Amino acid sequence: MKKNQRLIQGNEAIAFGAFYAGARFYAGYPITPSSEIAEICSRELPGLGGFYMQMEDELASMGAIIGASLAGSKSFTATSGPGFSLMQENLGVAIIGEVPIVVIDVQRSGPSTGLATKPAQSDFMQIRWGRHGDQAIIALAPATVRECFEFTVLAFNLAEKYRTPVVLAPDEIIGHMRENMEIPEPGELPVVERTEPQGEPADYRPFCFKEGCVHPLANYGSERIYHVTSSMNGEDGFSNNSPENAARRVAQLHTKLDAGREDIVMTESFDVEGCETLIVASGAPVRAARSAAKDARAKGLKVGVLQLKTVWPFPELEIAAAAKNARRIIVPEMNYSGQLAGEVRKLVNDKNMVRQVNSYNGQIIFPAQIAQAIQ
Amino acid sequence: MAHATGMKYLKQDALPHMWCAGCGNGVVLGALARAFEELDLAPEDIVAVTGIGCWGKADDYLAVNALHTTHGRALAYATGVKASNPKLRVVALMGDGDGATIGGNHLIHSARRNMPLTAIIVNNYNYGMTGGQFSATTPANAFTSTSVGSNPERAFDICELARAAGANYVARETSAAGMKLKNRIKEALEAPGFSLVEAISPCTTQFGPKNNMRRPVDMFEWLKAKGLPASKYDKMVHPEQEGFFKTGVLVNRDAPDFITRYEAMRSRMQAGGRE
Amino acid sequence: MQRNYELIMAGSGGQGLVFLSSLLAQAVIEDGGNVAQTQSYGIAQRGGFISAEIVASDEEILFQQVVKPSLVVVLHECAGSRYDAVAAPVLYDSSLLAEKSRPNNWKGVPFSLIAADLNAPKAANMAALGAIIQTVPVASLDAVAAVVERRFAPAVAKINLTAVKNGMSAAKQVSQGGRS
Ligand SMILES: Cc1ncc(C[n+]2csc(CCOP(=O)(O)OP(=O)(O)O)c2C)c(N)n1
Repeated sequence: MKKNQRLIQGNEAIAFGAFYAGARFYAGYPITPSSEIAEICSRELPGLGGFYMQMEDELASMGAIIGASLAGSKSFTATSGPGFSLMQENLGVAIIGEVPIVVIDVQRSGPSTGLATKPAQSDFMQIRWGRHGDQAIIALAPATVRECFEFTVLAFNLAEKYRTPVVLAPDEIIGHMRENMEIPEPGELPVVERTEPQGEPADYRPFCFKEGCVHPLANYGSERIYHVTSSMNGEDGFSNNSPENAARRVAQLHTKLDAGREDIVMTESFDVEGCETLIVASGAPVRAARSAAKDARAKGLKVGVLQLKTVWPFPELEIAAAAKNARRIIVPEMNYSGQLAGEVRKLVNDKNMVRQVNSYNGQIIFPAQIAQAIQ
Repeated sequence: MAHATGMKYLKQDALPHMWCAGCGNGVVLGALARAFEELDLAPEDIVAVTGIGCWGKADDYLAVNALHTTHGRALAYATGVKASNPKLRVVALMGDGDGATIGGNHLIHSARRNMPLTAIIVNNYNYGMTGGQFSATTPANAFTSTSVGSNPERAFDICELARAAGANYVARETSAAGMKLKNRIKEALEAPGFSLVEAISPCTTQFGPKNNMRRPVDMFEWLKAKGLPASKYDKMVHPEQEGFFKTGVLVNRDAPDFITRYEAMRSRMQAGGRE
Repeated sequence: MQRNYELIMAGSGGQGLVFLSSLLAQAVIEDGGNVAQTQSYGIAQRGGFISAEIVASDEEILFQQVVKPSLVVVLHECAGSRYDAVAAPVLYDSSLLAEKSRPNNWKGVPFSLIAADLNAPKAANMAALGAIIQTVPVASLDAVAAVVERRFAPAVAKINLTAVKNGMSAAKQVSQGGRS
């Protein structure tokens, strides 16, 4: 047994993961089921030399963390459905401004205020497409408390490395459950720091629109003076209305994530080798899926599970590879419409081979429901 | 000392600016740049945070750090910049729609928090950029593109709002008085805690023509006639004050700002003020 | 030892039931096991039905929720008929729940009375903790003692540990056919 195993809640692991990654600025507005993260930040950040700011709403929270990140602090916020909706417009600023931030969306049951304390996975599409304007984003979804910690560290790393907002989207089950885990020692997990720009300060440009390029970000207050704007802008950060520039700008926002795909897209496979039934899941349903698959295999059925640790960019290649011999793909998720199933269906010729297992009443998905779909 | 021009703080290759002939924004921008110069601020230590609107485009002309944000939210972004690096001098440039209407909530909470920022609100009594619709500062009964039968709503007094919400420094001038404006902005930049300067300014394309001030000069004359220093304004009794506004320094106090209070809380916690 | 236990603790908000489940979960960890603890979050912090679940195993825990309970603990009448069909043993607070005929697998243990006898009415959940580890070997008394000593000031820890032990002996008596 490891010595330092502790009982830790998912939301707690997220907060500790953020501190481990070097986050020192949190701005938020309390909302169930994410509020534990705010409470821990208010308790711990002063001692870590950081700031906890309770803003007047989620629009302000998102604005504040973007400002704080540009001024040099690794910054994040945590919320749930209603607050995440309010954050969308300003989240778009972090995308066009290429500002590293982490947004935790502990998914709860909607629509609207919905079942405020119950789990869901109905924000996947909002995370991907919730803002106006075409853009790309990274989203991760943990399935264990340990993953809450690790993925938060990863989220900050990816945010810095690709100068982009990263959304961590646990469902309420994972945010609120407690499991034993060992908090990693400093140095055990890699932590990515902002790379200092090189060259003459006067020549500094905050952006580079070459395909796949991620340009180093200076901090406000350093010798490099720079502009960031929500408007269409040139590499110098000033407004620029030329169509040629706009085309390069929008393309680069996408291609920088394409170029980093191998780094960003993470999946884990469980017995997918030669499986006839593949279960594709993310978040809490991964656990039910693995449990159901284990029972099915005990009965001689060839059932594998592919866990989507990264939800966006969607792990298309990984799913296609895992499904090579599959005759059926089962996608369990806590929403009505099959937000992940729809993406999986795009990857196969025979649309009927994708079976959905959905829960949209605030209740979790049990292994028995998946077992039924396996039969 | 040579007369401050403020040129060092302006992005000269971006000039001339895009604002309409007679618009007061240029005057306010000039006053801001001169205030920076007279205080000898290093451009790298300044962050200008702007919202969306005509005045919200001021960052296009500034050679300091800048963050052009969303409509109404400049103060929220500015709050994050300041808390993240309290050494920075942070100014939020907003129109009356931006700063006091869609962003009214952030205005009162920034003042309540006494966040050490300087808000410079150019109040041209309407949404200039989108074609002159009424805002929360459009006077009652005024005509705008969305109050063609006269404005049925009442107006906010931005300065009174900031005072009531707890701002340390509040002043109002008009863009017809550039020198005074520069002095007020200087004082605001030096004030501890939340400071706000309201610059009443003509919208010569939208608001003026719709309200019987066809030529730009009509609006400037109107501003000069209506803005009264406290010495005159306070002598008038209530119904006479109608239609006039008070200029000069309206609030000047030094309540501890947010960062100071946060640091005090941090020290208490570190001294064992928690379980 | 190969452990695989699934426990449900049910009662009313404010009875210290979630706290009980987290102490038990920590004892499982103390004994070197893996544990997943979940709870049903309601709108109400106080009053109203709530339940907490523990899955404890020496292997990796896949599904986090109870599927086939090894034991159910009922601390309040508001649990209603939810657990009437459960096959596993059900321990209930016989000093709190109404006197009525119950299925054979229901064993009454007077948790509240045990606590009251110690002049520590809040320790009813500790008595329940004792009854749990007496009924299913999900965690050792040593592990529970270590966790209790860590979590409470010495004087409180002592009373709580006595409540745990008294809960254990009461449960032992009941299972041997003593008073219920
Ligand atoms: C969320 C949102 N709603 C509406 C708009 C459209 N819009 C842009 S500027 C503006 C009003 C600007 O008025 P004001 O803030 O008074 O500044 P001015 O243009 O008069 O300087 C509006 C409504 C927007 N950009 N964003």
